Amino acid sequence: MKADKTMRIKAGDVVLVAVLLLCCAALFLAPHLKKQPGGLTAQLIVDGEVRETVVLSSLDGEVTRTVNGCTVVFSPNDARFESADCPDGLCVKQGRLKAAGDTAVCLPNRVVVTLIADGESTDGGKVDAVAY
Amino acid sequence: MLKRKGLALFLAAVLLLLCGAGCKKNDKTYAVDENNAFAMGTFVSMKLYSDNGTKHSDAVLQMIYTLEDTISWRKENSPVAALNRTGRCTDAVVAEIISQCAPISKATGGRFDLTVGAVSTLWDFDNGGHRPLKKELQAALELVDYTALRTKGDTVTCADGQQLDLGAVGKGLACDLAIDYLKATDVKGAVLSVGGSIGVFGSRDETGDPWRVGIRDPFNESGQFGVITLKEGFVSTSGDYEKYFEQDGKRYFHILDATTGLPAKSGLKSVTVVCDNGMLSDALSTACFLLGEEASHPLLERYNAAAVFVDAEGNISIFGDIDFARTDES
Repeated sequence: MKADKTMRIKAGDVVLVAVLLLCCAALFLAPHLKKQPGGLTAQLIVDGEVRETVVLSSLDGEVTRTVNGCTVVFSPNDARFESADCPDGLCVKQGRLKAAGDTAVCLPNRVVVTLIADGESTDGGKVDAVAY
Repeated sequence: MLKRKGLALFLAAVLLLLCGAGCKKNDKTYAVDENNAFAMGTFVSMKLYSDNGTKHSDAVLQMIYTLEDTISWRKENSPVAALNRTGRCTDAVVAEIISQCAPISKATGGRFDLTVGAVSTLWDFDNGGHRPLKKELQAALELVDYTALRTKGDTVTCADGQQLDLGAVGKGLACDLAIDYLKATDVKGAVLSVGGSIGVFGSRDETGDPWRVGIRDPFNESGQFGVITLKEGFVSTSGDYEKYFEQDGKRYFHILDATTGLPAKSGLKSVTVVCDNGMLSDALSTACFLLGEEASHPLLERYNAAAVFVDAEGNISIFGDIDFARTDES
């Protein structure tokens, strides 16, 4: 039987398919790579309103805010209640918040610090809420 | 030659189509209506997702404030405050709570008891807390007895001096009311947190990806030890870290065993319950914490609920149908 020469695969075909595959892989992965969380953002919520949003990775050192009797410290890797004049001090005892979803609440003083992941991806450990 | 070109074009088209399908997953994100507030003695936050960004969060908050005005003993004009003062009140919500919780109280042998108010007031955890005297505790325990609660229609009665405290169910009930309301609107998905009780339904975008609910690590209060993934339902956690104080070198936490008036001694650090009802998930997490793990299994089975237990040694165990992953494994 005679082989059909028009169907024989040549080096150019392999290159073409490889280029196409690479293009597709890049297109497919781009949105996912873009949405990998690059860092953490802290929200300072006072009386139910977001008073300040701090991109932690953009900080050079510690930033301190004092509000409603609470002193909150933001640093490049975490956020924490440093002190509070509330009766139980549970917000201070909670220590350093380091991951997306971590939240510390000072109920008596109505101050909340919560960390959210940069970007909208559900990958990389981002959570929608924390049960506590 | 033409055939080969055709084959290459066909391959390119197929690959691009496949790629397009993959990329489309994240194309459509719904608009989000986000809100925070303090209500029910805790922090409330919500994210409501919809096509056109309609605002429902204020209505949800109003609903939660109204519930607080109904079931909080701290609100002077609430039906529960009236019941505590006079031994009688008429309110459909309060009557429903009492009816639904009675079997849970029975199953725990009275450890979980909504009439524990006289005891919890003595401990005063909301104001920093202190250990009550033995005789004070004994007198308060005389008033604790869920079997004295009676309902007839919407009317509730209790024994003289009994003090109802619905703190073990209120946050979960708030989630129920909010999610029921939102499901009847154009909201496509919601995640609502009332204190540590969470309610979710729908999705945040057209991918339909499930929600991820972290669980606080009882040994590292600022962190999470695992994540529960679910499409819809309610998640509640009871832990010994939420409200506590130290006195004379001892640590006392707020989950009180109504038969002793003392913090629970079940050997658990935290229990997280997943259920299709918010009030029940809230009540069950407290009840299971009081019972301990083994004794909780029949109760969880009865309500078709699942749970994640953490004991004092840090062992984690799962009961029931639940999609749970430790944070270091997820």
